[in-house]
Amino acid sequence: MRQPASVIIELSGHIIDSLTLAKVIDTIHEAGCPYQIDDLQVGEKKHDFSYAQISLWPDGDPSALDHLLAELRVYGATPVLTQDATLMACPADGQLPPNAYIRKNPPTEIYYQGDWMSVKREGQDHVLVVNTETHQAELVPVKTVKRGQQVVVGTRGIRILPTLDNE
Amino acid sequence: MSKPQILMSPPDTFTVSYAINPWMKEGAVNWDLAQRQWESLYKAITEQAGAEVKLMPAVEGLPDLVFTANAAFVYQDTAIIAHYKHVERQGEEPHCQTWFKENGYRVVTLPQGIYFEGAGDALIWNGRVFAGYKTRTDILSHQVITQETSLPVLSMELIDPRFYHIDVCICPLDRDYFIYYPGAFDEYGLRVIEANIPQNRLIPVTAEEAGLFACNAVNINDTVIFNKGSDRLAKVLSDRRFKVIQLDMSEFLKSGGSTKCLTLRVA
Repeated sequence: MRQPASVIIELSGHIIDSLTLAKVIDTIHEAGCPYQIDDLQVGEKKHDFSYAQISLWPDGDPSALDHLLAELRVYGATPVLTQDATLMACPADGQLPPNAYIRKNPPTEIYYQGDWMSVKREGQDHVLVVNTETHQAELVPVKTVKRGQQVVVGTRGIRILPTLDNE
Repeated sequence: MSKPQILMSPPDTFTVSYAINPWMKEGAVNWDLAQRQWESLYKAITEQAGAEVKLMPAVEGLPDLVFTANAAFVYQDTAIIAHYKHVERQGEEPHCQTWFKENGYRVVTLPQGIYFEGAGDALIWNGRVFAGYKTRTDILSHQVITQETSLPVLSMELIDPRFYHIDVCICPLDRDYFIYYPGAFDEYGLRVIEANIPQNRLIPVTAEEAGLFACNAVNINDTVIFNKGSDRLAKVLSDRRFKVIQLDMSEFLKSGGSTKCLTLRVA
């Protein structure tokens, strides 16, 4: 599994017909920056937008990264704003707060108080329980949650890590 | 059928008092000659092309208000008002907004920090918008065009600072013809043009013609009006059954605009 990307960018619009996505990819490639397309949604109708989310693994030279991001911004690609995950307490044992985030299979990280936390354990249809004192997160089966445990709700501050076959 | 309606603004306060494109040279304009050239365009539009002209009053201190093409992007009853990149032109925005409100349009404004220069950078060809970005217009504004009009937008990077708006390097015409200057676009832009427009509708112009603002043409039905000096293009268009009118627009070229920049199709 690859290290988490230090920058995630996104762009939307008529990015395929306009070749804007191709231009963004070529620009990243020419800058020598490793990247991966995490998400690509293609608009179905003529006026539908397409959307792409791309992870970047720059080599650590901040000025080169700034230059690359400025260039990508011309094409409408902007860094994804990172915000803390939203937590809510479980109202009772085995009961979830509304809109709790139910995790499927792929590995996940949570952004909380300025840092990405990796999630202990994997599991399908589990919820993400965060210990706000130890800054640890783990996936827990729904029926085992305890009253007062902090559970992630919504999708803000969550990212799914890419798994690369060749790494 | 009702006449096409064109928005113009008289050149009462027109001058070149700042330089925000490579064509502009302060103090170069012959004001009297500019008045006569604007009048000749007005007459060609109303008397020869058969359109009706609406007038937006000139405003002291806003010399570029005369270039109404930049005021807004208009589609049906929606007017997306320009948000100019240069502070020198931002004073035009409230006047344009007022005109469109008073004339019954649904007015849309851009979010702060997203620049967009109206029909100077967004032209409709066959149900889709060819929209320029980078020099003056932010590509993010193109999403607003689609959100407000449901028209698909083809975003085209403008690579030559002399051709700073897309309306100085392309001109969609009646019957799906399309004048363009290939040198204003990169390989991606040229591929977009070639992928969307049939070869037999494309009318490329030379660098010399582009420099005479041949692409900055007004097309009303079968009439095409542009700055004088592009006789080869005039013949190409005549051969395709267009009625060509060439006018001397020398004083407006000194500000980086020609016939199209001085007009905005509003209905």
